[in-house]
Amino acid sequence: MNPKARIDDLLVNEMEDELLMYTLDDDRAHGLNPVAALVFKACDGSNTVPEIAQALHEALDVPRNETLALTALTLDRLTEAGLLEPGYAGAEPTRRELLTRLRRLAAASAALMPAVWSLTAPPPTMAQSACRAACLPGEFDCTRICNCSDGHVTTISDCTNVDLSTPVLGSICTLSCQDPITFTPDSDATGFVTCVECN
Amino acid sequence: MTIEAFGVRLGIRMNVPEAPESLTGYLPPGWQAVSGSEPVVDHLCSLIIGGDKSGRGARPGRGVKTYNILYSGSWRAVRTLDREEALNTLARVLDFQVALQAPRHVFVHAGVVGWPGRGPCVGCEPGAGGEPGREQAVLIPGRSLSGKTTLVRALVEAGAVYYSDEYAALDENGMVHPYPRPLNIRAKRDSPGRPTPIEEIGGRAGTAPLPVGGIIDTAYEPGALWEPQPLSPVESALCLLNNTLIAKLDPRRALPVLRKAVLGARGMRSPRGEASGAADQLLSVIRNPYP
Repeated sequence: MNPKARIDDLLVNEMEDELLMYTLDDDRAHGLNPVAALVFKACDGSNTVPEIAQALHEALDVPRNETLALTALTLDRLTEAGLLEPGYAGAEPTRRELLTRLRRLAAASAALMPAVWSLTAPPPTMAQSACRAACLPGEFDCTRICNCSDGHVTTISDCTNVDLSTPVLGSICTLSCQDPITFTPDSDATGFVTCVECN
Repeated sequence: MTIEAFGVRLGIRMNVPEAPESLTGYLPPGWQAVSGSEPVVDHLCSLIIGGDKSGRGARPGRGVKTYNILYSGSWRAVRTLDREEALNTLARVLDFQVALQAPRHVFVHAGVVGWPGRGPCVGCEPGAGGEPGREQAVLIPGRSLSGKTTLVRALVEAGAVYYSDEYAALDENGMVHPYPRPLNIRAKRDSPGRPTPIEEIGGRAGTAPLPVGGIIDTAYEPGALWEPQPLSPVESALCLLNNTLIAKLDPRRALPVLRKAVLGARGMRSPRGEASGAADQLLSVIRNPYP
């Protein structure tokens, strides 16, 4: 089966000769350099691998005898990133063999080597400061998952003593006195419930 | 009270009737009051003012402490005897809600300064470098504790215009809008920040939206040398996306905005050692971006 670029659940943004993409099913963003983008665009399901290699040869100043290996390596990276439809069997040589073949080309021009950068999109809470602070004792929390500054990932219950079972304003005050911090309800004139530490 | 900032309506209710005036320093940049007796809000915060550190405001009675408590929606965000801590938390909660819900802006966690453009970059992407003398934004994406406030402060002290030490607010055309909260300067790495007005360090805050001229992807590594490597536009976009609040929630909206923001900008990546040295090197790159 000829390689075919994935279409479903894929957002594609052209950036000059590069591609910025996003796979919706696994929330991953992908960046394709010009070589990878060219190969990706040529993967329409009708082009064979040698035909894609020929397109690469015509578009880039790559020696003809290296374009096939370059195409195979690119397809390997696109497959790994989940950017090709299932069914493409992949290249015969292993990636190591391909890289060995392309060593001279890579040394001559790194820009001619295919690059596919992928990252998992961060949830909003991981992209904001408060989550880091939440990992510190006594700080507030905003999220169920905190990405701490030391790389430790923790959950809300590890970060603070926030009680998830108290969704209503003031309801914490209905809890009975317990150690270490306990409260009794005390309504004030405004109708708000003020929490007062137990004696 | 009800306010609106970047198109997000925020409600704040308190147990002390005279308190709203004292909140103005903690509200999101560019906020405006919303009138109406029963406004509909996108997010509601409830602040219960108790005592302060000195015990002022505490209810009388032996052994009684009154806490300052903040609820973000139904979530108790903080409970503290320190009123200032509660108010700073309120500011962070409001910022986060604005950044998350702004309907016409995409917020990226980044330090932002304005710097005069140096003219077109020969051999770079079309438009890179921008118009000579026209101010451009330099973005330093990164999450908290990545040291971006230190760099932003150093750049401001060197003459850059302050835009934000927390968020780059990108509009639909990829322009950066100011979000000039007071600098959040930490005495120690893990300690809470102290809000410092930008004027206090001799800086000034920007007011007009700017095109993105530079994206600096850097993080502190002990002993690291400043060795910037250029980033392609797509690498720059991924760098921003990794710090975008709605990256996962709304990629259909985020990606086109990031695309517009980075096209024409110059991206670079380098680890950095101590902040002061890195800031000097960063300044030299910004002053002379195309050696």
